[in-house]
Amino acid sequence: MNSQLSKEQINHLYKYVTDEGVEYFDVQVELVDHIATKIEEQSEFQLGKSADEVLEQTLKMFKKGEFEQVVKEKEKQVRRQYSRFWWESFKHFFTWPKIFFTVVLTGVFFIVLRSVSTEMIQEIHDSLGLFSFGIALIYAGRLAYISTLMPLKLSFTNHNLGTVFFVINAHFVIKVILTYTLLEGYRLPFIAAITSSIWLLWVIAAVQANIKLHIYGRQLYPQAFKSVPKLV
Amino acid sequence: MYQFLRYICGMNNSQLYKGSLSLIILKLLEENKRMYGYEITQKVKEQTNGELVINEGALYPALHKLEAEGLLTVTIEQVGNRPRKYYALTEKGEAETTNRLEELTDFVKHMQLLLNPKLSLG
Repeated sequence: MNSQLSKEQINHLYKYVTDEGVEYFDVQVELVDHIATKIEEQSEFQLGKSADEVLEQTLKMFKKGEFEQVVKEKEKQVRRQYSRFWWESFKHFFTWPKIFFTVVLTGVFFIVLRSVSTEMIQEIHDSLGLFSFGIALIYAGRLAYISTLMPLKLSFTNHNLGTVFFVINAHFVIKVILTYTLLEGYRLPFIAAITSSIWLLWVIAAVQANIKLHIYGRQLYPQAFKSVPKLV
Repeated sequence: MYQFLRYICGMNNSQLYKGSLSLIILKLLEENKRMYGYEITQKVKEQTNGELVINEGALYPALHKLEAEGLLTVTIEQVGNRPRKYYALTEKGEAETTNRLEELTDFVKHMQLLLNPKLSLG
């Protein structure tokens, strides 16, 4: 059985990978365990050497910048995972029982858009930016609050800015929909209702994907969220 | 499977070998249920008599890709003074492994026919 590295030696490895540009705790965990297992194995074959000597010798075997590539690839894969969650969340709106919500949302949009005047539509069109910005601000505030409470950084919670930017700009598409279905002489409330609700569901799915990534990170690395209240 | 890979890769770091890394991981996880990173590198080295060596720079991106695709599930366990990340196949991962292995078997069969037509014809 291999002798295991001490807590101090493990902390030294965490410092080493951090200095090598690995800032995400989830990637650090994996690399530290990899290096530590390698050192423990090497120690078995080099009986004359102390564990510290084998540790330093093993660390010299890693090339400069090798771990940065792992981090870059991890960020790429988190974006991929986010896209997968996004698409899955969106698809759920068209399966039972969520399709009920989708139909009701489209129906409400249709009733409202059919009955309001063109002037009112114009007013909604003009104030959408402020509404979208307000929602994004509240959402960004929540995410920033969570980030400040987290003692460790995770790759899964690094996608916040992209989602906030998307929510801020989401109103542009609704504006285009309103312009070409209910303004400029058009009167197509049914098409406006369908396209608006699909777009809104797409935006909700983006936020849900970000939440799913947070939940995924929280389940695997609860120590990174230990100061974050469960309800936040 | 490793004989197949050695045959088609001409060994070491060819593009073909890099492209097969995901399949090697999937196959190992199918056989061993759950594994951690270093264990995977050692198992590959052992089963290929030290001819295939996977480094960290190639292994972890491949594992993270499979995880992002939903083919692998992850659990964390405390081992000694450190946490260890274990990978296992999801249901989707199991189905994908079967598909990819079938594709590889067909591919190798066709390559053998193309590269050694006389041998294949008997």
